[in-house]
Amino acid sequence: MSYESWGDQILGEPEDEYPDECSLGLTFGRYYLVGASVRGRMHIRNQIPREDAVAVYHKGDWLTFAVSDGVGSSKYSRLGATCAVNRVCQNLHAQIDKLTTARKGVIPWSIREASPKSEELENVMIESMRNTADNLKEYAETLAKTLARRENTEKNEIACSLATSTTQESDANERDKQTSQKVGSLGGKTDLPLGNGATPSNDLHCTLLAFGLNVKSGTMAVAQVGDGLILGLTGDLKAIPLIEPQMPGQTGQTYVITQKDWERYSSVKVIPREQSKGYVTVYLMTDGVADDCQYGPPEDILQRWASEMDSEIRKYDVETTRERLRRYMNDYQAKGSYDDRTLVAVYRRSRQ
Amino acid sequence: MTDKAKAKGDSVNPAIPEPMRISVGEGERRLPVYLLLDTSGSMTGAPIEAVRRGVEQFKLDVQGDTFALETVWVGVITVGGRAEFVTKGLVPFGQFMPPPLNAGGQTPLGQALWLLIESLDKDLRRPVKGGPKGDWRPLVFILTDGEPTDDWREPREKIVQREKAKICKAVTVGCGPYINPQNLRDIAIGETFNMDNDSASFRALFDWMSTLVQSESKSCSQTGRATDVTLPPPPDLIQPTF
Repeated sequence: MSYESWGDQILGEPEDEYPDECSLGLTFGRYYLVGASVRGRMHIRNQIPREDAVAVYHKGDWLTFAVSDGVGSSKYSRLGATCAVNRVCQNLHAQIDKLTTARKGVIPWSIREASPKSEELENVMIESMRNTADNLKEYAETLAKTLARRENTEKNEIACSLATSTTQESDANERDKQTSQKVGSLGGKTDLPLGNGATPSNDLHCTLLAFGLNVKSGTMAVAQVGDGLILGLTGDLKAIPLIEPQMPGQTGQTYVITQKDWERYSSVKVIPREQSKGYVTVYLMTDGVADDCQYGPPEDILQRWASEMDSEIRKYDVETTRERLRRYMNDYQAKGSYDDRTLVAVYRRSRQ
Repeated sequence: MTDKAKAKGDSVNPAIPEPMRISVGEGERRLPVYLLLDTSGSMTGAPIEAVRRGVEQFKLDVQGDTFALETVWVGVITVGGRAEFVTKGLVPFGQFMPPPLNAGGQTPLGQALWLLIESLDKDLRRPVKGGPKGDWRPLVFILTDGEPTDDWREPREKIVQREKAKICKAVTVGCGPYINPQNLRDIAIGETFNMDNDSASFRALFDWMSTLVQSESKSCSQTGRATDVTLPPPPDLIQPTF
């Protein structure tokens, strides 16, 4: 059985069109999922594309989803973000399948299981994140080759046109010099391959927040590298961050899954079904939303935001909620909130 | 058995009910910008006039950028006769009025650096969940004649430590045709440049400072960063000091 997927697709090349927004409204058994990823005000003003990405995958009892924020200082970060969210979901399902097969068809962590194997699920998450980091390296290398090939083709084309347009004999060195000057003046199309000789992944820098949910048992697994927030809301409306991610000391900087030592800064947690029962809603968000709901005044903003959002997403059917959320994400005003915004909420139909 | 419904699309549904109403945090994230301006006797005449015009131009340029205007808070410390925090701390850029500048007296750079340290320690907001968002890393511009007249080494060292810890980002510019390169290297905090003290050089300097501030505010507002952002290259009249 293969999985189904929704959300942003992996971009093949920098020129691939990337939609300004993406929204989701899905139902999985007793769970609803709504999400929206929209382009930030600063991105619109500076005519740069959205750099956040979201993906949702489903197979069997498992629902996986992820959000990612491509960092603004990296040229192709939106490509990195789309790759990261899709690959981590795919890797999670692959790891779960592997474990399932190893157990000779016994579905792990199902509701029938007396004690979920948290350590196994934690390993599944860790391995999926590692594989995703490797996927990103391979993706960067492929992209670098594509761009280098394109640069060579353009150089050759320019060299040919110079050769045919030159009426007098000129020596090869002079022609090479002219070619180099002309190529250098082409701007964006002839940008150096990824990373300008440094680690290619540098140009794909992105955060990654991933979530796995067994829709039968309620068991959850979460992982995070970089900023953003994974937040749980309990039945009595207490908002509790499910992970406290490691952050650099400096405001505005973040760790990313594309850096060499990302594993040092990653956080992984399993929430077994006994604990997960306490949560009625879980939110995954990039920093464009997290910054607006974590910092006051008022002091209790996180509680307020999480419970008000929960109340709003439960008012109407999932399709109506998807559209309302999409509009809200585009329209809400908060001081200094210019960044892309991405939020996914998964919630149980009943708060009980 | 799991049922699923894919629901995507951008068409506006007139039947969509009222918009969501959800509280958001009211805090703001500031980009503090400090200007340490040499107003000592060596700046008398055309140089101080050029600095005054430069600060006014800086105000106009940055004010024209909506995002910078919303984000930047500015503090001006003058270094002439005695050091003075003429803006009395950081003020929102919209409320910033270029101060009257008069040249005279000695160059108490050490005093000015102590004032800067006090403000960095007291005025900067650290992020606190439920509390303030925390400020972006401040930009500090130090304009000096390269001949400080007080004890500047200790406060300089403290600011260098803060720079290394990425608490602030400093740029030092030595001005005047006879600036002692060794002195400038000793004083230097962060990337260091020198320039002449004619009006064209000051104009180029303040243009560049406006670009740096706007570029930093844009970069801050856009998204997180995995790496340090490098300074945009200075104009020809502002030369890096090696």
